[in-house]
Amino acid sequence: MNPLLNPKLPEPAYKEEFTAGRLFTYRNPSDLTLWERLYVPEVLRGLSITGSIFFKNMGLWLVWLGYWARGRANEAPRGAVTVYYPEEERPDMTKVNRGKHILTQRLNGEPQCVACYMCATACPAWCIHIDAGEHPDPAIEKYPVRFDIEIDKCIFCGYCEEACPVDAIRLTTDYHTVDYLRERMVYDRDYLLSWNPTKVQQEHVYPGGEPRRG
Amino acid sequence: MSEIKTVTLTIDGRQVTVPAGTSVLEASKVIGAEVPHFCYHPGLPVDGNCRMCIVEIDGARRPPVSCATSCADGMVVRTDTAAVKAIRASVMEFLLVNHPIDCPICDKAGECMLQDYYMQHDRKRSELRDEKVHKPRLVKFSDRIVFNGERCILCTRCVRFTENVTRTHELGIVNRGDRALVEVAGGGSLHNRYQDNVADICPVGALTKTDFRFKKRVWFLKHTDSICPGCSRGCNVVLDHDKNEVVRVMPRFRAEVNGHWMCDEGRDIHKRIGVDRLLAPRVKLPGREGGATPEEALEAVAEVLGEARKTPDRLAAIASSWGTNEEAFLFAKLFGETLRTPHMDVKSDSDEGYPEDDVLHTADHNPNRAGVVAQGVVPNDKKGGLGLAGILDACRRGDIQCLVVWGPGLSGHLPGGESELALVLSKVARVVYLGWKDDPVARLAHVALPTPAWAEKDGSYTNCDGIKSTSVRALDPPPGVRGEIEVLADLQARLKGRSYGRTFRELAAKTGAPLPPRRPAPALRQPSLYRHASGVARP
Amino acid sequence: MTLDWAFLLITAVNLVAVIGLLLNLGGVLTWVERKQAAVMANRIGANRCYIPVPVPAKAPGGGWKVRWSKRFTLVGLFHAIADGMKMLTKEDYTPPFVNRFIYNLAPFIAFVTVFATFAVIPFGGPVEPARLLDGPLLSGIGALDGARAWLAGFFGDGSGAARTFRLQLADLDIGVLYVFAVSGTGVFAAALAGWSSNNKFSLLGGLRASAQMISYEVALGLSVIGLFLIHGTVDLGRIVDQQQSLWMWGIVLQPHMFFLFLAANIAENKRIPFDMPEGESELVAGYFTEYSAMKMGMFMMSEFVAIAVIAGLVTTLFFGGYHVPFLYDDGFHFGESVVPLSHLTVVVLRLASFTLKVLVLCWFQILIRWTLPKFRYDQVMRLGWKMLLPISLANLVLTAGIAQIVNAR
Ligand code: SF4
Ligand code: SF4
Ligand code: SF4
Ligand code: SF4
Repeated sequence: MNPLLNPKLPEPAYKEEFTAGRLFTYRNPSDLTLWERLYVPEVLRGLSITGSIFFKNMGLWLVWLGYWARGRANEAPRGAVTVYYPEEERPDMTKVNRGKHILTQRLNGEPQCVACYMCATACPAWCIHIDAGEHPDPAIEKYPVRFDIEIDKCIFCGYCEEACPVDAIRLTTDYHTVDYLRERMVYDRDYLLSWNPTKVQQEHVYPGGEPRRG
Repeated sequence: MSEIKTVTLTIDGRQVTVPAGTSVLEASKVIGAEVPHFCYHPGLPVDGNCRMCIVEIDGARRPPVSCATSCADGMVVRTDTAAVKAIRASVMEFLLVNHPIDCPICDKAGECMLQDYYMQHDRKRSELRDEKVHKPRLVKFSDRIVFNGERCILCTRCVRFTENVTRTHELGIVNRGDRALVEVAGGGSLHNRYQDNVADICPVGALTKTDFRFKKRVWFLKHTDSICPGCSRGCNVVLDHDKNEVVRVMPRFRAEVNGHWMCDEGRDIHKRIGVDRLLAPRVKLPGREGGATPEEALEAVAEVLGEARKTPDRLAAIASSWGTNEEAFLFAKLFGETLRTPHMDVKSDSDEGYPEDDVLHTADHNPNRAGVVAQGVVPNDKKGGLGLAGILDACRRGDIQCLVVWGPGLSGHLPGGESELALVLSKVARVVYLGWKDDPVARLAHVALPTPAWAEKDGSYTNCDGIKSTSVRALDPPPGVRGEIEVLADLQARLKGRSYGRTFRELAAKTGAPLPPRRPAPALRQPSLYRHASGVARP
Repeated sequence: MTLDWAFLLITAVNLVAVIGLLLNLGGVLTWVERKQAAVMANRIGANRCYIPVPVPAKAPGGGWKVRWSKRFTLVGLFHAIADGMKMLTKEDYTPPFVNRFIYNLAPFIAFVTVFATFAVIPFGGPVEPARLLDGPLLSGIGALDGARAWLAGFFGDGSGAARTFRLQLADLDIGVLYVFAVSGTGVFAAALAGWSSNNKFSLLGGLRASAQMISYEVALGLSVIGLFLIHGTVDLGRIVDQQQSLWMWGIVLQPHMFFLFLAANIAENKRIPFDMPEGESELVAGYFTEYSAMKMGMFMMSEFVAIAVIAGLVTTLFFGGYHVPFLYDDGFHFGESVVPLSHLTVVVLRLASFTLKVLVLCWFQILIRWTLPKFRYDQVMRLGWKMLLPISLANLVLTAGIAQIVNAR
């Protein structure tokens, strides 16, 4: 309600009720009408909504059966908004989805990362494990000997990406992180570095531009 | 005794009374007005070169540096006026002109004074448009210290340390202006035994310890007050540890013991924790051979001692000089009172270490000989008790039937070393060993019980000057290993002796141990932005 | 006394039919529940379980080989089987802190009471086995003569007259009272399971279960007393007999009580919106938190079987039981015109009618479960004691008055 048109503000939304010898104050008193409080009519209304969706989808299924019988199942209108995941993928997946990580590389293929632990510190899931080492090149000085991401613990918040001072860690849009083996869901340094730049560029989008190489 | 003269002055509108000669900076600390500073260090002579600690004093012609200004009666000091803040911001800007700001790879990040003060007093972007001045990086000052010239803010703390504390004069500043650089005099390397302290006092990450470099980010560390068992000075230290592993040892200020410093041997003392450990009990008694649970081993010890009790004259107990006062107290009570043996003495557990010097290190490489003796682990002269040498002689003669050895290093007391030890112990019917090291005695003993290392237990230590310090348990002992206090209290109970308590806090009242302040449980992650991450009050 | 072999045979057939159908229905309902929820929410739902089917496929090097297709999923129907297999093969872990005897007993109580309830529900019309093969089509087939003669002989009462049997396990004249008694015993399952598990969540779930079931038992009973007054009996068979005419159906006579009865029954069955005892959002799994494998499965199964039992009960009381509108024993009667039907057809039609009604009511209960949000505990209690109970009492008084007036005339 526009307060300019209605300068009189509504009553403060609370209700006092004296029950069982005590004063109860309800902060959000129910604003249901009597009809709504009868419950059964509203329940029926709700059931009619869900029921109609049920019948609509069953009808669509019959339509699909018709298409399927003619071998054109793919063209049938779909009731479901979900997909059969591994076989199908959603065509409307957002281009800024946060998925699998990569470590960006220097020109010689070494990690950009300087093992500063900022990502490990920022990570709310504590799923980044780094061991730092002394790099032979004194200009680089520090680099990750080990860099493990437990992708099964990761919540894809992107904090690591944001915390990194040298743009060494990126989240791609690739969301196929599922696996049957936990061991395979720990991505080590070499795996994180093993992304193929051309493929990644074609298939996945980097929010904020291309990853820096070198 | 002469009366200490005091002066009263006003700082930020609050009256404060301090001894005459106190600097304004120290006086401000009293009322909690923290004056930022880089080059001032309470353990070093005042230099006043960083200009960060400038305050306003009424009547002064221009704001003076508070570290070099002595308090005077009636002084009116202001530490947080707009002018002071502007000066601090300018100093910060100036210090940061050529600073590389490579905090991501700098080990000091998280406990760096430059970082903290930047967040508190500056928070501006750099105005510099030119290339920063480059200086030598990764200069090895010695095997222990690496120097990064770009990060150095030329506070000269390190120089003053070598001049005034160790008096070895290795470091000096060469060149002027933005070319100035700390260098080791004559191109040599640092050669004193206290060099790790320069990395501690360096307010920035210019000096780093090779030992700690890149091991751990400081905000992951947990801090536990402890002592260094390297020598009988018993320097008060903080153990910085994470994931049940000590990563570094830092000195803890204790004016009467070690001041602000500690030696390099102490820095490495944590490396001894994992070496040569006795991890599981061993029992070699007839009918009880083979592996034993801690419970069974304790039972075996009680059995052996119960037997030995019948002839107290033929029982001898040798205590560890690494044990705590509380353990020594229980040891003395168990053997002196309950088992009534006259033969008790303390041995040296360790004889490795630096030679004595006039800074901190003493000749005795055991932290608590004085304390163990003070708790009554001495031969009972009235009953003809034997000292350590006497006990060993008696063993050799076969006069001792049961020998209890607490702690490693007994072979060091025999000229023939291990082979002689085997000979001596073969004459003793029952040898019981109690200790954290897999010592030769542990291999020869009939029962050997593992105990925790010093970092794995609570206890107090009395140093060579008779000053008691308390060490708090920082690590979990290996699984199944119980502390001496518990073991001795259990034996006391099994042998029907008096109970004196089975925790450190119960026994501390009896030994007069200073109780450590209960530190709040460490936050899972300590935020490091605006506080010293170490949580340790640093000068 | 000689054994009544005919009666025993019919009872055995009934028993097998009831238990077999209920068990299977319970299993199928687990699938229906998932799939219906998915369809109602624009999702796909359970669809992964398959039975591998060999299909010929072209081998890479030419020729043919057998490939195992994963496409035979039957819209996910195998999930029910997979669930069953999973529950049977999982480790049946009994926590060390439970009271073993009661802990093991509780799921059986839950299971048995639900099945026992169905015993008094008539699921088909009266059957005269002797007339089963008399239809206009079948009577022409001479090959069946032998069977016909055997039927007449076996099911005759000795004097030559044909006997009539009910498709009902136990024709008790206390009918509904038995239902209430047995379903009241079901409280023990939840309460004992909660108590014996020695777990706070379980205990709370058990307490809630007993409180809730006792509260709703009252409304449950009172809400149908009106019908008993009208029908003048509590024998379910008699009640169904009287619902021959569409105007005597419970839903027509007492439509408001239908909602009450259904609500009270769902509350008895502890399903959303009345799933306080399970309380997934606050009590883990409520009274059966500590159960695993098939014992947990028995609680789940009894819940799904109870859906079918409730549907059967509601059908019997409110939807004319096995009756098909206008269908009498000899065929359809539309006013004066009669469409004669053979006895077999009528029996089959009535069985189908009952089954269909039950299935629709199961669907309706699942629809409710996936539509309504859960109540708060105080709301459950308030609804039970402050709404359902007074309304059913008022209805009782009103119906009694009207029945008095009608009977007096
Ligand atoms: S996306 Fe978030 S949870 Fe995942 S690794 Fe990065 S910081 Fe951790
Ligand atoms: S924040 Fe970046 S540079 Fe630092 S450790 Fe993580 S990935 Fe490496
Ligand atoms: S000395 Fe301090 S400010 Fe400089 S790089 Fe290191 S942490 Fe950063
Ligand atoms: S190395 Fe550190 S202590 Fe030495 S002058 Fe530079 S900043 Fe100061």
